[in-house]
Amino acid sequence: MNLATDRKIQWCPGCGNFGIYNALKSVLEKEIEEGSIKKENIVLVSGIGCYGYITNYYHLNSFHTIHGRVPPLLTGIKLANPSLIPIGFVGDGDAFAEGMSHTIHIARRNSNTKLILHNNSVYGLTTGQFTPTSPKGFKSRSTPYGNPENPINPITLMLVSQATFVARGFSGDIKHLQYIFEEMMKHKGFAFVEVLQPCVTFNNTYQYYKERVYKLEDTDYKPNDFNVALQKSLEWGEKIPTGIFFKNELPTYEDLVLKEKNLFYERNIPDLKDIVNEFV
Amino acid sequence: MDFSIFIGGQAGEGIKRGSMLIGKVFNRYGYHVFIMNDYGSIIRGGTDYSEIRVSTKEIHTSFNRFDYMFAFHMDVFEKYKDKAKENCFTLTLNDFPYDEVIKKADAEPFMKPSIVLGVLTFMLGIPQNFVEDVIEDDLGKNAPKNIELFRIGFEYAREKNFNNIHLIKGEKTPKPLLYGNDAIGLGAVRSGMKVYAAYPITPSSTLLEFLAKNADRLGIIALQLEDEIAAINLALGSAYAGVPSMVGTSGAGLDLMGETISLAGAVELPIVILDVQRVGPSTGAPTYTEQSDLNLALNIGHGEFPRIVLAPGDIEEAFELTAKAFQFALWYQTPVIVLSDKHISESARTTDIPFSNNYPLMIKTYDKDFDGPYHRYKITIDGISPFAPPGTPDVIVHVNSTEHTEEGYSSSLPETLVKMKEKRLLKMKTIEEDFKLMKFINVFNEGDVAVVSFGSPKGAILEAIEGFPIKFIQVVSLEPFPKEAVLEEIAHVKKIISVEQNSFGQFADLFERKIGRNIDKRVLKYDGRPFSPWELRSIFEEVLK
Repeated sequence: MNLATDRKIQWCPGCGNFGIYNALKSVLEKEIEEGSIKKENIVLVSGIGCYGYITNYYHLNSFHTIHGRVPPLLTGIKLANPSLIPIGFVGDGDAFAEGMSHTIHIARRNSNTKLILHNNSVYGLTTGQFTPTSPKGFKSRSTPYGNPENPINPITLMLVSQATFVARGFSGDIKHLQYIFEEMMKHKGFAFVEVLQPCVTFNNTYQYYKERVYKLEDTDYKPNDFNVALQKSLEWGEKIPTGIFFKNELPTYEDLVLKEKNLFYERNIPDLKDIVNEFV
Repeated sequence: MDFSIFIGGQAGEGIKRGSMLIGKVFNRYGYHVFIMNDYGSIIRGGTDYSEIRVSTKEIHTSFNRFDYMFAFHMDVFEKYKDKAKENCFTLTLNDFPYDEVIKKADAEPFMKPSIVLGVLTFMLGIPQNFVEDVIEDDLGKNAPKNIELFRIGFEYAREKNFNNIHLIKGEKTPKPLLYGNDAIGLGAVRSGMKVYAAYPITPSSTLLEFLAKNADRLGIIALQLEDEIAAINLALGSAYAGVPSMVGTSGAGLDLMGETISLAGAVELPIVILDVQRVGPSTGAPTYTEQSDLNLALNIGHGEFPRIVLAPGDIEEAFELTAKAFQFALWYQTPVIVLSDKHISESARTTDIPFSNNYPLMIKTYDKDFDGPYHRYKITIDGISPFAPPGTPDVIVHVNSTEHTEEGYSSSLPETLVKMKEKRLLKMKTIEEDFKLMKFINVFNEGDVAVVSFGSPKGAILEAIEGFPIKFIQVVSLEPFPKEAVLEEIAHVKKIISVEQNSFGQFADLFERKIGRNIDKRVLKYDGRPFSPWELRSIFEEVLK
């Protein structure tokens, strides 16, 4: 099983997108081979950024959509056909600039979908402007004298937005990323994975992260306490935690909204006679 | 017999609900009914009114002159008393202690219209038990209190010996008394809509409410999202997954949907977008009617892509065109905009909706043996590629907002751009050719003067041309514009009058551009209130002189 297409991958050599692409690829290939998911049921949705072209490189159903609007699309797909497994890719611009509200709302709805954040804290495709996750003081092409804004903390934000699976990986550690993606695939409910990734051209954080990241699984951390997770999410500096911060199973938006309806298969047109007669 | 009843009061006094109850009584008593609700964008206070027009013949709009005026406050009466016809019966707060009666009966202010119904029932000689049955049926647990108030009104009219005529039971079989938005919802469901997504905005919200309330029995979902952008993207996700989907909004919300309408055009997915127009620009006058989004509907979304814009002229057409919108969206795989307005969507009329008609959704499906490997954007002779939803075994569906190859992979090579632009041009050509066969104009009456219009002025125009040698051409499809059909109809016409509800004359401009002939007189109205038949009639009379 090889999910790669014949498209030539057009990312800079050493781009963090490769780590994410390869980790997810091997996880999905394994699951398809094992028969735990059907290939035709996977739907990849990406927004806009260098990473957005990722859907060209998987031989899987995809929707390369516009900037910031990945979350409602994911929910629409899942509602229409609950057999489908929508997996979204977003950049820090999609998730927290143009599409900020959607990211919060999909989390609090607990829509049974997955969202992978390519967080490189810079706009690569538009050649190097700051983003909502760029550190304060960050010098970029649009902030030549330093970023005046405070960065968003994606993990904290997703926790308080009531996401039921919140994790962070590092694109430089593919093995660990695979573990996180495997757990993400198992989760029923909204799963959010932040991936720290360097942009080798505009914000090369590879060394920075490499020296600081550690795995929560290597400690006695348990991802089952919201308050502990919230506290842990604030840890950022000399040490940067990766791994699963929080998971919890709760009824999904689709379960609550659909109430057993299957909109894809149930195509009978209702008889309107009764309802029309109520208007007489 | 054709008369109009005015009920005026403040928001919260049950004007709209009450007018529906009264409308139902006349409908079941064998009359045609049209209800127009005039209300402000507030929850309490204000000067709201409803007109309930009742007639032995078919009526298409409100009349805007009253035979009976009931006013729960004096300010609303003062505001509209010049609309009283000669010999108009009035019962205002000065004549009748509405508030005291409500208080004494331990009832709620929103039940005041039941008193009015009592007075009317006596004055028109309608059997008391007939009306009480309707109240019982319509108001459920609130019925006893409303019947009590109804009887107070009835007895009061009898004591005062208000002039009594005997309105005999009409011969018309009762028809559904539907709001335009209800008809739109039923039309959508009738043709197979399964997902409706929206953000509340007047005057489209009542559709969301109607569908949400009835979602389970209709086998659909109707969802409120965080904004119009989320609504249309959710709907587009469902459409991609193979489920017919629709969004509804008003002008300001349509603005927000623009980028996704362009997306739908680019990725070639079916989506139906309802715009219930209201007074703009910006927040404008949210509860009043206008037709000023025509240019927006024709142009919304950057770049070039095929689109269809349909404008129903009344509640019946609202049902039918919404159903057809789904057929077109699914067959042509492109956005279809339905242009309604407040006067259609929030007015009610006894309507013959063809609710048992079938509107089968034809989809160009994928056949592996015939089509070869699945390519989402396969070049075909009509520009329409076979559609397959994700989840289809052995099929990979790549949908792509960036310009794409036939397989759906991103590409900005010059030959790719040309190929895909020409594919969409071809699709547009196909739509235009198909629409020529369907005509999409309605023509009424004959004459060497022609009135041309679209949308809700239809009702007032139909009544205004009665007995005049005027031909009325209603344009139903604004994009594609039914050029050939219109040209044929105006070939022997000497004068053309356009009628529309905006200040720029957007329809007249479009007409002149498409038809290449000047409009002789442009009738424009932009005060937020619908055209009255008599108002148009005097304008037409002037032209005929």
